[in-house]
Amino acid sequence: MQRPRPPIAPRCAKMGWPMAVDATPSREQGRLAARLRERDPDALREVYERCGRVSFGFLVKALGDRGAAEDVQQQVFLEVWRRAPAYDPERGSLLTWVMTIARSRAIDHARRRVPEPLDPDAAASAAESGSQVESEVEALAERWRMRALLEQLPEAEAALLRLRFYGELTQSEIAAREDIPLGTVKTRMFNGLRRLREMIDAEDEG
Amino acid sequence: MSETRDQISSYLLGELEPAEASAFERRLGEDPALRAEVDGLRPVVARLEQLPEEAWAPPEPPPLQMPADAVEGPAAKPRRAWRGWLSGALTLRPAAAGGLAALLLAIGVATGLLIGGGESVGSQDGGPDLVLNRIDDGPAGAHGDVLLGGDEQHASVELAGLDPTGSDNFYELWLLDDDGRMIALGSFRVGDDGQAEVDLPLPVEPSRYRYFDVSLQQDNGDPAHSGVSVLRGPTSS
Repeated sequence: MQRPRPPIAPRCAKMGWPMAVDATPSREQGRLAARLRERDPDALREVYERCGRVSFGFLVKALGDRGAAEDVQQQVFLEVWRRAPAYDPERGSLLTWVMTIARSRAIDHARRRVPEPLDPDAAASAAESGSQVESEVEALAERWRMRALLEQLPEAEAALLRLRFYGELTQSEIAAREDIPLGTVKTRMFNGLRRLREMIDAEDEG
Repeated sequence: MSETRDQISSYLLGELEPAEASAFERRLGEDPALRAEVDGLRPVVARLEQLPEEAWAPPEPPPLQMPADAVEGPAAKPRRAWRGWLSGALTLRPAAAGGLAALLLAIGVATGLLIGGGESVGSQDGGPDLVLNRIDDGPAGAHGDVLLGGDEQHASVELAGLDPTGSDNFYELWLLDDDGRMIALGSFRVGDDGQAEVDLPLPVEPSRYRYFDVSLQQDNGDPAHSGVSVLRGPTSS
């Protein structure tokens, strides 16, 4: 079944990305991290602006409950604020770090929903349920990991990938829609895919 | 090379005509470098195809609730230093001894499931700085941390975002374990700012227990854990 086309035409005309893009170099992320360490509240607001939407989307999906996701979202950014000294931009992007915290807090929350056993014999069963919940959230987090990497691509490449994989347009359709040469679309597509692969390799090695 | 790149993306996206695809696959068989390039990109395409629809268009997040210690601008708050024993508004209470069987199960077993994912952060001036996270009965925004003295005989606890205590209730800090063992470490009150800082001696090595826990207690003379936990975190990093 064909998914509805995303409402992206106005911004894609200039190859923009319809949501916050975190394609900033690590130097800028380093400055942002330094401001967090200096307890600059505006830095936290900036991090939220950059990362809040993606982390919230993940939490809504992981927890299946918007109210719970809102609650955990606040916990995540509270933790970002408090753990800022631990963030090292050299080890990964800000969004990747935020998503790591979001994953942990989602697992905590999901486990909490496992009924608490009143019978000691039920403890093993509860632990098993908790483990299953953890596996499900981990799997979802792994799929959302690609979303965090997309945020680090140059806007032009990220927008094309979105049109291709979310908008389900062919490269020719993208070229026509965006009024750019087909060769440019193919080159950006290749470059975007290759850059993603390099980021995955770098994270796996880190 | 540009033509090859174009073909790679078209091939991976399934956009080559059948005859073009066959010719490209013959090249793959003859060119190990090209094959390696394509094989490296194939899982990237697969991951993008598997990306949940919600990930492409996440919902609008709620407004950020700024932490209590972040609302007054860059504070350059100095790191806490160890302040010695009992310098806060702390009074010690005896360990709860009996009548806890149900509580041990409800809290002890559950805590093993709840906190496993909690991380802690090494402090820059001594022992580990342990994070206390809000749990079910805690108010939104509640948080805390525990700074252990280098000898692990003392702890400095800093809490924020808690509901103020009234005339008939107070908070209690505990050490808890999975099997339900627990030790009451001390009681304290919280003012209208929702914050508290307490320093206390540790009667045992905290690492012998798994969690620090903060409960809201009623002033009813019962020394047992009320079962109303508001914050909890692991005792080791």
